[in-house]
Amino acid sequence: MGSSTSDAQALTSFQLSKRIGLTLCVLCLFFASIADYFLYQSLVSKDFGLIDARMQNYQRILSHAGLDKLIEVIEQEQVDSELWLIEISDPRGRRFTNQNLSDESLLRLTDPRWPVLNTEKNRWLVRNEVSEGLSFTLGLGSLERQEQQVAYRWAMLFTLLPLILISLFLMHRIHRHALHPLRDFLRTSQQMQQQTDLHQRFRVAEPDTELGQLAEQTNRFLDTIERLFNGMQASLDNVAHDLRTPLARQRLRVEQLLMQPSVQNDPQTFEALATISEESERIEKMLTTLMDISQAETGTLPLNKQPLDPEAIALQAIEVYSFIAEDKGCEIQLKSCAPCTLVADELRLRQVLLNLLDNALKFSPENSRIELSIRCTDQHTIISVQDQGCGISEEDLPHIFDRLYRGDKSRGSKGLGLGLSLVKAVIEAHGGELRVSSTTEAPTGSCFTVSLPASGLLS
Amino acid sequence: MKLLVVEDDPTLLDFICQGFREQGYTVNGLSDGHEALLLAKDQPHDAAIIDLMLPGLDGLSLIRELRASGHNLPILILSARHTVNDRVLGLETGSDDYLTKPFSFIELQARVQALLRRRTDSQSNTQISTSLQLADLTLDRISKKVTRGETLITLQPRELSLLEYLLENPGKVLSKTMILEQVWDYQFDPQTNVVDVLVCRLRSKIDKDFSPKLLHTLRGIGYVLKAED
Repeated sequence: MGSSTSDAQALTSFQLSKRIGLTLCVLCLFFASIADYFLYQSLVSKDFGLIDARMQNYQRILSHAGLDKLIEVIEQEQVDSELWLIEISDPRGRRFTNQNLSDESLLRLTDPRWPVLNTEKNRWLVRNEVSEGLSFTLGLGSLERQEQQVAYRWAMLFTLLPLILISLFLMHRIHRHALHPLRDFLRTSQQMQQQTDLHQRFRVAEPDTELGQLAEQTNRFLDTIERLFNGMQASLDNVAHDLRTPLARQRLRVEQLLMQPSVQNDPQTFEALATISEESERIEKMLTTLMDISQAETGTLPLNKQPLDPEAIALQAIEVYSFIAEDKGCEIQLKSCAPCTLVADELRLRQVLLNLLDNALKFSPENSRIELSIRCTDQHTIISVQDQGCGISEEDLPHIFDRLYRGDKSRGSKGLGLGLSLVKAVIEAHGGELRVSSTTEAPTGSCFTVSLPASGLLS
Repeated sequence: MKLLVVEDDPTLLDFICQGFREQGYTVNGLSDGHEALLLAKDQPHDAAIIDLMLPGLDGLSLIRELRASGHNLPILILSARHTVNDRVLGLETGSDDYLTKPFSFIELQARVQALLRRRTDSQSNTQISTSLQLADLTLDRISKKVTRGETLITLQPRELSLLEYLLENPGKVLSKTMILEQVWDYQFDPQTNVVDVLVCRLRSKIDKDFSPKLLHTLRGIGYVLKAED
C-alpha cells in the first residue's frame, strides 16, 4: 500500500511540473506571436516608406524630365522584378510595366482599398497615385519581409526553446526538492498507521518554514493522541482490575459456601448461591468480552499473527460443536477448495469460528444443515457460515452487530449478546470484513461471511 | 506442603490462605513484594502464588529476583490483567502458570496441585498407572476400554478424555473452565456450554443404566466424579 501511494505522490509532482511546463509553453507561444505580429507591422510600414520614397523620386523625375526620361531611368535602374512592381499607365493604356500581370490583377491594382496584391509568386504591398494624368502603381514584394520574419522566428525558437527546457528542468528539480519533506511526512505517517506505533514523531528540519510548522503541529496532535490512547488503555486496565478483584472475592466466597455440607443440605440457600455463582461467571465473561471488543475496536488488542491453515481450525471448531449439533440432529458440513494459508491470530480465529457456529446452531431448526465453506482468492480468504434457520428480520439486521443487542428470536437464549460484536471487532482488527445476508422467506437462513486478507502483515 | 501466597487484596489473600489451609497446606500469606522476597529467601517453599500488582516490588520483578537467586520453586501468577501479552510475559519471566481474576478456588487449587505434581513426577519419575478405577467403573488407558461392572461402554474420543480427566481427579470438583482447557485445549469459553453437553452425554453412557450414580453436577461450581453421595 505504502509504495503505491508514494508513487502517486511522485506522479503528482510530475504532473504539476507538466502542467506548469504546458502553461509556460502556451505563454511563450502567445508572446512570440504578439512579437511576431508587431515585427510584421513594422516591416510593412518600413516597406511602405521605401515605396513612398521611390514614388516621390519617380514623380520628381516625371515633373522635371517627362515620362520618357522616367521610363529610361527605370529601365537603367534594372530593378529586380521579383522585388519591385512598377506600373505606369494613362487613360489610353499601359505605358510601362515590369510585370506580367493578369487583367484581373491589373484591375485590382487601381483599387485603393487593397494595399496588398497577391499574385502566384508574390505578395505585393501596393501604392497607387495619380499625377499629371498618369497612374503610378508601385509594389514591394514580400521576399525580404519573409526572409526577415523567418530569421526572426528561428531566433525566437533558438532562444525560447532552451529557456523553456531549462526552466522545466529547474522547476521539476524544485518541485522534487520542495515536496521531499512532504514525501517524508507521508512515509512516516504511513509507517505509524501500519505499525500502530504512536511513539514515532515527524522530523522537524526547519522549524521556521510552513512545513516545519506543520510537522510541529502534527507532532503536538500526536502527543495528544498518544496521551489519550495510553490513558484509555490504562483506564481499561484499571476498570478491569478494579472489577475483577471484587468479582474474585465474591466468587471465592460463594464457592466456599457451596462446598460446605450445611449449605448443600439446605436446597433453598444452595440454589440461591449457585445462581449467584453462575451469574458472577456470566458477569466475568461479559467483562472479558467487552474488554476484548473495546481493545479490538481501538486497535489495542494484541494479535499474535502467524500463518494458519483455516481448514484445520474450522475442523477443530466443528468438532467442538459436533455433540450439540448431533443432539439437535443438525449436520455441519465443511466445504473447502484448494488448501491455503492465511495470516491471523490462531486463538482469535478459533473464537470467531466458534462464535459463528454457535450462532448458526442456536438458530437452526432440528435436522437441518449448516455449511461452513472456505474459499481463497489471491488477496482474501473467505469463510462463510450458512444456516437454514429462521433468518434475521429486517428490523434486526442493521443492529445484530451492536453490543448487547438481541433480536426477538434470540431473547430467550442463553448468550451474552456480544458474540457477533466480538466477531466483527476481531475480524476488523485483522483488517478483514464481516458481512451478513439473511432472508426470512423460504428457503430461509442467514449467511455470515468473513473476508480476511490472505497475507496480512506479520506482526 | 508449604505455600507462599503474595496478593495485595487482603480479602482475597484471606480466602486463598484459608482455602489452602483447609486442604492441609502450610501457607505464608503476604501482601508486600519486598517482604515476600525476604521471606522466600529465608524459608524454603514448595510453590508460590504471586499477584502481578503488588505494592513495593511488583510481581514480575519479584519472580525475576527469585529466579535470579536460584529459587526454582513452581510459581503461579495471579492477575487481573487479561491479555495474551501478559500471559507470555509472565511465563517468559519464569513463572509456570497463569490465572486471571476472577478465578475459582477449585481451579487455583487444581493448578497448584498440578504444578506440585509435575515437580514430584519429574523428581521421582513415577510410573503412571495404566488403569484408572472408581467403584465399578474402569478405564484402561492403553486399550481405551471402559467398563462399568461387566458391561463394556463405548465412548467417543472427547468423552473418553473427559472421563480420564475425571478419573484422575476422583472426588475433586472440576470447573467448566478446567474441563474446557483439559479436554479441548481451549483457553476461552465458547458461548453455548459445550461442557454441559459433553458431561450430559458421558453421564448417559456411564450412569444412566447403573447405580450408584458417579458423575455429579455441583451447580455454580462444576462437576465431580465420586462413588458415595
